[in-house]
Amino acid sequence: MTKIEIENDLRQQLEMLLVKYPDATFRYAYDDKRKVYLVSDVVDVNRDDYEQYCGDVLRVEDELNDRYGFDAPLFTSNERSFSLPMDASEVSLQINYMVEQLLKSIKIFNKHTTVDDTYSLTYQVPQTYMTSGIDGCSMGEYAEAA
Amino acid sequence: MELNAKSDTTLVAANQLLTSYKDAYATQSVHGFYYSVLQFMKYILANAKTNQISYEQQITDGGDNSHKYLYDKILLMLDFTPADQRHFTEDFRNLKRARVEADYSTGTFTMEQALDYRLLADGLRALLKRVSNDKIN
Repeated sequence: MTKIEIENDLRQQLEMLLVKYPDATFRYAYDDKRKVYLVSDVVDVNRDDYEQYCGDVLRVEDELNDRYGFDAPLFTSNERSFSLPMDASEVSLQINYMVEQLLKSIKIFNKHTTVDDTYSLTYQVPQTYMTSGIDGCSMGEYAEAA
Repeated sequence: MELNAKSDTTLVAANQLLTSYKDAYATQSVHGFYYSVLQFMKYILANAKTNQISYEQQITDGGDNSHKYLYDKILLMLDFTPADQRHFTEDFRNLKRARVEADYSTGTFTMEQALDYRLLADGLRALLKRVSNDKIN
């Protein structure tokens, strides 16, 4: 199994975790000396579903361990057992998740406001979020549809 | 000598190797940090209140894959919470891989790197002590 194949599999597994935990963030890097991927999450240990979250992360770790054995990525939480470099790759839905939450707020807000209020609110959204949006819709389109 | 006592002395020896000789024997100390944890796992299994597994039985049943066998049996016996199990599994795998690198690869560890594995061993032993506290004689 090549390094690239392991990385693709790792990313796919982490992205599947994000479906259930959209606010989670994972960072990983390849350690050239140890010849293994190192992975850490950034997680609030006080979150309500922390135990369930750990169980799901562990299932992913076990699957990768079964598939790759000695070459399986090594995991830790909040970089407790090892540090990752600043340029580590990130797997996260953070921006999309924030946009989604913001859009929900706008929809709720619009139900109780006039068109003029909505117009003011959309103008406060940072430009980077305006361009990314969700499902191919711009922030303006979502605001209009709400 | 019970294996919990051996686990303690293995840890002391590995630590002594590291602090006295620094980089010179840092690689060998990683070996000791890992085996200190493994010896403590064997002690827990041999002294469990229920489903006890004697040292002799552990050797017989473990066969060629004895470390994996011990890991699996510890998970079964200690009934970790998911968070504790994750902590145990991640740090055990990390330390185990470092031990293989220390013993069988051409690479070496510096004192600074070995100190990270001492912390892992300390953490694993503390976790095992806490979780096994009411499950062993």
